[in-house]
Amino acid sequence: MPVVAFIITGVLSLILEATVLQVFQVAGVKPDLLLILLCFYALSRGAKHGAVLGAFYGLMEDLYLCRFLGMNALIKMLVGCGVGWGRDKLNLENPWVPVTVVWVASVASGFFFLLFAPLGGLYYPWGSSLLKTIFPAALYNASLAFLGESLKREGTEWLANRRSLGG
Amino acid sequence: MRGLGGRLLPILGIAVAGGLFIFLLRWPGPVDAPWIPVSGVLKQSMAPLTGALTWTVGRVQGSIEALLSLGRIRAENEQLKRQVAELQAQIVQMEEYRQENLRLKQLLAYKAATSGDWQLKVAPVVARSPSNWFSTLTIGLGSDDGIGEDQVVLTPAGVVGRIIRVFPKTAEVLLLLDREGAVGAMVQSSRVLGVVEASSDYRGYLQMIHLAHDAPVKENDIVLTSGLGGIFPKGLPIGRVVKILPEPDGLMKRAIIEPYADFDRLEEVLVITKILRVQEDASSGVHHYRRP
Repeated sequence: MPVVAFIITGVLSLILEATVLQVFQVAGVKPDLLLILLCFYALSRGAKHGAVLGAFYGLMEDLYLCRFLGMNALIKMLVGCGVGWGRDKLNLENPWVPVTVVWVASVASGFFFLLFAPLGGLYYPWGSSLLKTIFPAALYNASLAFLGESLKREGTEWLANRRSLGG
Repeated sequence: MRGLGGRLLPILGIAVAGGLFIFLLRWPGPVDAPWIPVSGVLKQSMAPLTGALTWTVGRVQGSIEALLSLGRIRAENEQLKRQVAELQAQIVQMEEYRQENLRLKQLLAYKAATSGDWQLKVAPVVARSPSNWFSTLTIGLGSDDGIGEDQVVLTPAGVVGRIIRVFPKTAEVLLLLDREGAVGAMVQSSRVLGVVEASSDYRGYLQMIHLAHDAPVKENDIVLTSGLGGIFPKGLPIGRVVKILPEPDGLMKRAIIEPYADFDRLEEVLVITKILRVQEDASSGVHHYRRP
C-alpha cells in the first residue's frame, strides 16, 4: 500500500470519527477506525510495518486532536507492533482471529492510554474508564472488525470465482 | 293475373310489416310489454359471451393504447419520480431550515438580551473530537473572526466550555465534559462554592466536588459559574443537581449535575468575544429551561 493510500484512509477515518460517527455512538462511545485499520494491516504485514503505520496514524490523530502530541502515536505504535508480533502465532484462516485481535488491541489501547495519561497531567479513574469507555469501545471496534473481515472474505472469494471463470 | 299477384304480394307484406311496427311503436309502455321476457332470456343467454367479448375488447384496447403510449408513460413516470424525489429533498431541506431558524432565533434573542453585558458571536460546530477520551469540538470561526483563547462558549441554555486553541478559520473548544474542563461553580440558592468537572462514573453528566458533607445542596438546585478562576463570568448557568453522593471518607460529598447545554446536539454555539459589564447573576431567563 503506498503512503498516499495510508494518508487518504487515515484522513478519511479521522473525518468520519469527527463527524458521522458522532451520530452512531453506542453507549456513549464511538469506534476507532484507525485502530481497526491498523490491526488488519499489522496482521497482514507484521510487527515492523504495524509499528510504523501505528506511529503514523497515532501522530496524525495527535495532530488533529491538538492535545498531547505523541500520546496516540506511542499507543498505536505499541499496539501495531504487538499485533504484528502476534501474527505468526495466530491462525489467520480463522475468521474470528482478526475480530478477537481488534478487541484485545482496543482494550490494550485503552489500558495504555490510562497508563500514559498521567504523563500529560491527566488522571482518569481506572474502574469506570474500563467499564464505561474501554470495554464498550472494544466491543464496538470488534463488531466493525467482524463486518470488515466478512466483507474482506466475501470479496476475496468473489474475486477468486471471477478469475477462475475468466481463466 | 299471376304476374300482378306476384308484384302486389311483397308490397302487401311490407305494408303489413310496416303497420305492425307502427302498432308496436305505439304500444303504451315497455314495462308490461309481452316481449320483455323474451328479451330478458335473450340478454341472459348472451350475457356471458357479450361480457367476455366486452372484457376482451377492453383489454385489447387498453393494451394497444398502453403499447402506443408506453414511451410517453415511461417518460411521465420518470419525470414524476424525479419530481417526488425533488419534493422530498425540498421537504427535508425546509425542515432543516425551519429548525435552523428556530435555533438561530433563540441565539439571537439571547444575544439581544445580553447585548449590554457581552459581545457574542454565533459559531457553527464543524467537528467533534474523534477520540473517546477527550471532549472537544471545533467551531467554524477563528482568529480572523476575533476568536481568542480562553473565550467562553455557551448556548442560551448554559455553558458549553472555553476556547483552548485558535486557528485562522477554526477554533477548538474544550467542553465542560472533558477531564480538563473544570470550572469554578456555585449553587444558586445557597451560594455554596465548589468545582464542577466531568463526572467520572456518570457519562454525559458533570459533578460538583469538594462539597462539605453538611453543605446545603439538594436535588434540583441550579448550579452557576462562580466567576472564580477568571475565565468564566459569574452567574452563567451550568446545570441542575440530580443526585447527591457522599464521598467514601465521609467528610465530603459530591453533587451530580445534569448540564443545561445538550452537548450531543450542539450545532451552533455563542462565543463571548468581549465582556462589557460584569454581571452579578447572568442566569435570568434560564431557570425554566429543561433539557429535551
